[in-house]
Amino acid sequence: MGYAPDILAQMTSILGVGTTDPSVLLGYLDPGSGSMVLQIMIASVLSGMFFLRSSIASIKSFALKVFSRTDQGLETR
Amino acid sequence: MIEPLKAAGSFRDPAGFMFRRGKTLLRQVNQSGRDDYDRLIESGLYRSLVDDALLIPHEEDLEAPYDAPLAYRVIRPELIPYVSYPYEWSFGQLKDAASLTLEVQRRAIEHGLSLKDASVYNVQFRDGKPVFIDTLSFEVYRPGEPWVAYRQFCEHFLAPLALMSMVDVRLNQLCRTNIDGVPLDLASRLLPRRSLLDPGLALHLHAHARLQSSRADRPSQGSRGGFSQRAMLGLLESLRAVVLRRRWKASGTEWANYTQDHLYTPKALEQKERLVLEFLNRTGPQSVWDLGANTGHFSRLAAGCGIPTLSFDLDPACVELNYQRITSAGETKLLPLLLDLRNPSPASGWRNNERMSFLERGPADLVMALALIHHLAISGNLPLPEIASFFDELSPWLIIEFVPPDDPQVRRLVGSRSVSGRHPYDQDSFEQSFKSYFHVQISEQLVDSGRILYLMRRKDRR
Repeated sequence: MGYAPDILAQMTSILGVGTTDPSVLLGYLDPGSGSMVLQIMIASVLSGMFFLRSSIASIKSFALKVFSRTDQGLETR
Repeated sequence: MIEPLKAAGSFRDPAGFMFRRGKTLLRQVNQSGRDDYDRLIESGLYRSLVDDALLIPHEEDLEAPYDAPLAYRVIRPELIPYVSYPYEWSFGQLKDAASLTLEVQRRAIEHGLSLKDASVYNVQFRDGKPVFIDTLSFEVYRPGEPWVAYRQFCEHFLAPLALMSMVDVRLNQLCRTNIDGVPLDLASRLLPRRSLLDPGLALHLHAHARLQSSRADRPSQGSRGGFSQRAMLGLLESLRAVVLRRRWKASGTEWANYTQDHLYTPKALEQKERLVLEFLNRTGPQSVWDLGANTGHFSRLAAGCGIPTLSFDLDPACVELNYQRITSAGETKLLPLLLDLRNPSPASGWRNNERMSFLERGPADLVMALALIHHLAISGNLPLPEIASFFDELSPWLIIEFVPPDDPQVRRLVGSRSVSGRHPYDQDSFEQSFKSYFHVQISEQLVDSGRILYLMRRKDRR
């Protein structure tokens, strides 16, 4: 059926992703050329998403701390 | 001195291998795996994973190596009571195994290591939960490099989970024929169009499959600096989210509703429970296999006595419901597994030796076959002497229920089958067949029913 857009394959050849470093990976498992290329292609998106998620989590945790302190302060008064 | 024996399925990783000395299972860490192993221990990752029951614990250097010139260390991992395989797991078991693998990799990255493989066979079930068993799967993390086990994770976990949840739960049987994982192009072709609407599946399965095919003839190459640690954690987070979105509701099958709809009166059910408990107490088994266990009602009697119990059924919904109950109640002595007794798991892999057959993993101390015999004899059209011989191979003790020919369940199974096309099925034939292999210790008819419960002991083999 082949749903995935062909543009992905074309992009890899345009960008030359995964072929810039001649050091063949050492290891007994074949990681798959396409799998390595896909990860490089989406690296910045993944990195951005992770940064965004971590930031939101930090803000939430900070807010929770602040509000729980305020609540405790009110209760003790 | 007992000669050590190398484990048949442990040969892929040059960093080490498993071997047996007598009943003790050991792992040799080779000199080539030294740096990675030391980093696992020294970084604190081993302790972090073991403390949270995510990795199997081990002891070091209590035994001599198998191959001394190659050896760096010998470790003795805690034994897994029963080795099971993904084609025997329910949907929830595979999903939990996938989540475990991702969590192990996330912690590894935080400690400066990475999983060099993400095989589903690195996970086993212990105390009702999945646990990572391959201590040598860790390697020192090389900053900038993508995850070498990404493709394997997608083939071993994501592809079967997506197929089970979106096409048919029975597609986990693809793991049986593809022990290196479900090929991504096959998964992509089998998944429905709506799977493209899930961004995780569109990326990690469909686009991944397309890229695999378009670059199949090119060698895998490194890409220094192209994949930051944050990108790696983002990848793991993305995989975790797509795994968590996979859902399958276990209901609607004939046998998943059996416990509620079965034909016993409360009095007969109480009597059956009492007898099973009495037989268990009398025989004191160290392990029980409950065959045709449904959702595990009677398995729980054995597990409740503290006996490690396997709860086999051929219905994926029953196995899933059984597993859900284990996870919600925190049960530790029970392991539900998918098994069709008419076609049990075969030995497979390289030289038919990498994965053990169902029979190789026996025997059990005691086998329970409650309300099962008529399915084998009538639905499976198996002759009673053949069934008796099979049970003889499985266990020295047998609790078995005979369901008479006039029982409504038997009549339903017989349906329009002609008498001439069936093997004999009656109490006399049953007893004669089983008495060739077993002594009947106790038998008792259940009230309000013609069903009979037997406790049998295998005859001495000469």
